[in-house]
Amino acid sequence: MYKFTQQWLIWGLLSIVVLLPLVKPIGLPVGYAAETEAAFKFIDNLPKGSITMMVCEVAPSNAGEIWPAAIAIARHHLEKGHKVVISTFIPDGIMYSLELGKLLEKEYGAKYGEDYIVLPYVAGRETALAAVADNIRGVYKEDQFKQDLNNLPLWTRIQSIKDFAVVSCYTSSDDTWWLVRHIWGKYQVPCISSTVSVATPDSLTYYKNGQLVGMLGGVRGAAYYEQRLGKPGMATKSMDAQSAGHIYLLVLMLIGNVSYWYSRRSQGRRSEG
Amino acid sequence: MTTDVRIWLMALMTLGLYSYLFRENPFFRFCEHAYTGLSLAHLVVMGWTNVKTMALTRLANGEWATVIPIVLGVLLFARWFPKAAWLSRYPIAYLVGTASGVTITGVIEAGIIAQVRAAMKPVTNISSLVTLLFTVAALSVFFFIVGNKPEGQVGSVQIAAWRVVSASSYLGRLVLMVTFGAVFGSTVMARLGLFIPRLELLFRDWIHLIR
Repeated sequence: MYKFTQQWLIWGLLSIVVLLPLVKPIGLPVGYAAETEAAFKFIDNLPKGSITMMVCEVAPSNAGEIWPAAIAIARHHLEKGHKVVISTFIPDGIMYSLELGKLLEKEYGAKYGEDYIVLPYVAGRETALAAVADNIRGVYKEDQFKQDLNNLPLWTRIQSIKDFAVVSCYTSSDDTWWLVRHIWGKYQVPCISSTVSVATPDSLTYYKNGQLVGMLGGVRGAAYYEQRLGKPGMATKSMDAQSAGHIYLLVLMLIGNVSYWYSRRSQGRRSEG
Repeated sequence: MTTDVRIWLMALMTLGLYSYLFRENPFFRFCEHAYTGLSLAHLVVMGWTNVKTMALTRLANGEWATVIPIVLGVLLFARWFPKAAWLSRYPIAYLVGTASGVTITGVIEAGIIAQVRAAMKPVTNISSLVTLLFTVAALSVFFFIVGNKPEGQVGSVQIAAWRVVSASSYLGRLVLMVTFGAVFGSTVMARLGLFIPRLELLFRDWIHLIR
């Protein structure tokens, strides 16, 4: 006979607590995030026609956290009339890069080759990113659809990484660190990073030092960005569930600490007696 | 409930993998093996695509310099043959050398100089003062040269220095604990961030409980 343990109670309740706000949204506020506000303002102030690069390191394992951020920033770029070059250095990233392109075409009528380009996957991770920073035209000859890049009007405006007004990256890995090293460090091209929550404390250091012009930390960052953009999306919807989950875990921590303190106190009394 | 076969497949695979929380079972094992097999197949296809586009196609186009990386790549397999294993050291040395060369220039500027420069900014407000104090305190935790309390005939200056470093080290430990707490909190947030889309798939896309 299977025994239901205390863990089942804890995780079962967590599932219910997270699910309820999804069924019936509460509308809890998303707190101010200075680093995300900085990213929003930077993109908002870029002149029309600026060329931007989105490094789409999104995969099924991290999409829940960073995909909403990629969509929000892509929408912002198109609303401001920016041009978007989408690249990736992970194999799964291509699937999301193409999805992003389709979204831009559907929502903003973006034209391939004029408003956006999807670059193919390049193996090598950091080495590949460094090569793109040093010589982008040497790395890419064709786009994802095997077309000669020189036939695309947007590509003719790009000679080096310095032609990009901003490079933004969506990642659960060390890409933020690589951006800072190779794009900002060597060429002073402004960079924005959207990371999974667990990488946020690390990446914040680069924002505080001025090595990133802005940052989106996990779903919270994406939700804040969506609200600033006035287009609530996936992140805003899941923020209620996130907040409810956090409140539940905080209550559990409080109960755990109080019971621990109480049990130690009782033990102390017993040993004195 | 949806009629989309893809959503059904995704939902059943999700349930199969989560069924491990109950206990190991054949449904979980099937999903686990399917996942592993698909990942491996994906990896093989990507690997072959890389070999094709970066090596074979270029060779076919007459880019003979491509022979050098191909030979270096093949030499990596020399490890399987004890007598020729030493040959694999050459590509490994090349890989390590290239990686070091590529990263080191960026690391010095972005990882050391910029970070030190940022820590030396003038103290103009409470925030920068707190940053300075906490940075020094956190560093002093690793200041092992000052160990236990000085004993025997030591001057008051040494005692005072020891007290300052000890107090700073204590504050540093608190700073590190707060930092680790923040990282742990972010980890919890990340896990919830992965769990919520699964719930959305099951309850919104699959059974349409969420509108």
